[in-house]
Amino acid sequence: MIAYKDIYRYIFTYMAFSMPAAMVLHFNDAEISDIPLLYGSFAAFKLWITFLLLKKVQFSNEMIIAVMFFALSLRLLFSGPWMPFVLGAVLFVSYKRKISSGVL
Amino acid sequence: MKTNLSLPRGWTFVRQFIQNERAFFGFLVRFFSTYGLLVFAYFLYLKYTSYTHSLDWVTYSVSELSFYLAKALGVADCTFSCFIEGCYVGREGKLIHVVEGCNGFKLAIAYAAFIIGFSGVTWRTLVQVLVGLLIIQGFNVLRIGVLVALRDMGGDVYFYFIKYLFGSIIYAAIITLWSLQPYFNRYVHRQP
Repeated sequence: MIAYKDIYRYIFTYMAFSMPAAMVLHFNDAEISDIPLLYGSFAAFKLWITFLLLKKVQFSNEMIIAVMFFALSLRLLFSGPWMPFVLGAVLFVSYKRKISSGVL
Repeated sequence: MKTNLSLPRGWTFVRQFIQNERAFFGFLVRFFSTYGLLVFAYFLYLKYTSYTHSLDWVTYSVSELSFYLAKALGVADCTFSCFIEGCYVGREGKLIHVVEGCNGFKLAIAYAAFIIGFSGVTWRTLVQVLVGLLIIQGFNVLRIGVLVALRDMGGDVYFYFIKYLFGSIIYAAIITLWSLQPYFNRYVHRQP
């Protein structure tokens, strides 16, 4: 199960990690290909906090791999919003766990 | 010999994992098929607008409503003009360029895909999707309208800070709407 405050903290941290690269791109009038290291570092931070979130909700390693795989597929194939997908998966699995444990 | 054995064992593991997490994979199938279908339909619509040399309706509507909101927020001499590549909203010299990627529609599609992934397709979930889309677009109009007003006041850093703050608020609103889904399901199933 996950507390709402953890979800909201994750969202705000994720967005905070999106800001630095966007600021550098804006002020230097640059493209992502001009700052691959900086962009890649913050993308890695975002993946890391996602991994921590999934660990916190006690997803198994296989489940974490599956969620990350489908989230990144959504991002790479459709340029879709992958972070909400991860949270959607967390909500869905938490709901199913609640049902099987008799909470709902 | 080792390789021959490890491949089927790997497949057995994957099959077993899918069977154990059948509900989750059902959710994934519904989510991705809805997402893919809606994105494809939207892609076709964008192709059509590109063919007819016109701007898509979603970007136009979001920009127009943001223009009215910015005017209501006190942006003097606020202008609004649209071209094939997007719309410009704001005071001359401090215009905000609203392009197709800013209209929030991909996020709205993800929202709809989750609702259908969670509960399947029924007329009730469709109503819920429509209400959710209106809420998301309402947040987006608020975001762009406030950004136009902020740019009018000046300050690029402040502008970027608010842009990401609003992004977080939109995501938080979507997750809150999603988390209400089980309660919504229980409510509609109680109906005669």
